[in-house]
Amino acid sequence: MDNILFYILSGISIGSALLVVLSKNPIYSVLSLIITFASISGHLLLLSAEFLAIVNLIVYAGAIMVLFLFVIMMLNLNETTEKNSNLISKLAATGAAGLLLISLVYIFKSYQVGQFSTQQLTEDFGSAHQLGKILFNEFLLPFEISSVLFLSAMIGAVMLGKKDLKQH
Amino acid sequence: MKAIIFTSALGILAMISEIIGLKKIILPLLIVGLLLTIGVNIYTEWNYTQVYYGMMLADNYYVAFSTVLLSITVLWLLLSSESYLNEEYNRGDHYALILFSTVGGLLLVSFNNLATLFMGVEILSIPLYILAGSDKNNKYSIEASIKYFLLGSFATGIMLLGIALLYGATGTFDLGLIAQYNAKNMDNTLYYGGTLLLTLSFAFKVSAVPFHFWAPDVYTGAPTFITAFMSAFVKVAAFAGFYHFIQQAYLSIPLPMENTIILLSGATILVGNIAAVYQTDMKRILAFSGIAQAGYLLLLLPIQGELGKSSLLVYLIAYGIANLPAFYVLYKVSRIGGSTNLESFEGLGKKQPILALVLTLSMISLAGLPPAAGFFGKFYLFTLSINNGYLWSVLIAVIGSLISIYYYFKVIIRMYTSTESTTGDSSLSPSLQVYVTLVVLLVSILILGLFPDILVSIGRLL
Repeated sequence: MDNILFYILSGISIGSALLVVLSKNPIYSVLSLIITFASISGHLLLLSAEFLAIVNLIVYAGAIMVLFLFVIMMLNLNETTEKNSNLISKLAATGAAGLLLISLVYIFKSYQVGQFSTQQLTEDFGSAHQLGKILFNEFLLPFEISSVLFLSAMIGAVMLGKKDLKQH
Repeated sequence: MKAIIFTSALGILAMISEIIGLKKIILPLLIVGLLLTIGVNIYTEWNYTQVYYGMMLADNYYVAFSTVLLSITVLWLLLSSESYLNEEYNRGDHYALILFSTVGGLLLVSFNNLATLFMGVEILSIPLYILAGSDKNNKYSIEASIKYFLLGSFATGIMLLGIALLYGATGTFDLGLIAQYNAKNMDNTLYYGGTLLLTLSFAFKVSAVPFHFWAPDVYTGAPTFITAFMSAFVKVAAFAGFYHFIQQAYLSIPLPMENTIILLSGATILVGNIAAVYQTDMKRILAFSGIAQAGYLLLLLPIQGELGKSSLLVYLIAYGIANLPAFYVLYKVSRIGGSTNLESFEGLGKKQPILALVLTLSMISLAGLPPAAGFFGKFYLFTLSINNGYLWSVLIAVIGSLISIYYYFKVIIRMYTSTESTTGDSSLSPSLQVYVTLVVLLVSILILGLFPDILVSIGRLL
């Protein structure tokens, strides 16, 4: 049962991810990206990581994608404004991505779907409770230091957004 | 640990300096604070290896490189003070971002866990994405910011995938446990995939070929002093971090990784040096020279043990103290000449003999000629690599160095041969604190070039 669900979800993820890249209209790209994120949340649910699944849905599919849509609508991007990139860069991108695909396939070829059963996990694995325990015990230092990261992102947003104060 | 807390606190102080009315004295405050931090850091952590919360390893390596990084920040603050006093009105924000970036650098030389590594890389980079675009009226600055941000995020994504694969193989983020795993199983494809992706993302950060395409554009577009910080601080932090990772996660470096790094090194040296020959803009010359220098440094990464560490220390210090003054002179010249083209440097030897001397010495040091510090940096690096059997790579590196002498000396010759007779131009004179800093830098380039044993003996204790 899990395996069938996994294959269906994987199909949806790969198909919609391809649509993101291939569709000419940026709005369609963003909408397919939302579907990609939703199916990835499905994967996380299959791995019994409920909290991560919900956060992924709220943050990525919800907040960030809405921002994407806003920007695209504000800039009024559509099929006509999209410039065609030249052939060489397309070929180079295809080559590089193809090589990465080959190496990833090689990496994963010895692993099989369903090797690991989620039955072995404890009852509250992946819950917010467990995650909080790990975050505030084992990973306390990176968690606290991330505040520096957010502070600099905030300063940056303000600095780039505000008008330059002139002395006169 | 104390250094990270103090530097973050200084960053917050810089951020709120305009509100609490310290705007006038914020620069001396920060410099005194950072010097105190360096002192406290050396006093409390040297010879006192400690692991903080299993996330940060504070050993002698960390003390040495955090001192180098904090010193680069102090020197940067001193050299850039003129620019910020005259032109920039968001000084507090800039200083705060630079200090936060310093915190990222400190994390990079001390991480003991891949989660801390990720935080370090991000804290190092995100302030710089912003600062690269801080010249808001210049479209090249904005282009630099966006280019750096997009490519940098992509590299971070690759790094995260690498970390995920490493976790999949080993079941842990802890470097010590990864090293234990690594000693037992060497044939796990997941593990190799993870290391490869991690190596590639580091190669992006140090602008190794073929991941260097962002560097010239970003260096040219960003404001000159931000470029100076990126080229000196980020390179030192990324290399020290990369070396720290290899040192901690492997008892002996696996062959595929060694080959990848040596290959990257050869390509980087050749492409960086040959491309630099064709540049006419001083900023681009320095960008490609930075790429070429990254190529030499890559040769050191697979070499473990105290010799590797001490050569890395010598080379990175020599690189840092040669690069910062070069960017200062570049800033001064571009202020007067209006551009960073090589033509603007004509006659600098007559107009401003001191600036010309500074640039001459730093070019000599970057080219790796005696009596400058860069000579011993290259000397140790090449001898160590030959001893490790990288004969062909050293041959390529020597050819690259020969090419590099051409473009470093092109600048020097431009400065001293000029047909027009100009007298001294007082508007170019550096202010007192910059003057003192430049003299200190010049003297230290010469001292380290004449007595390299000072650094080597420190390097043996790491």
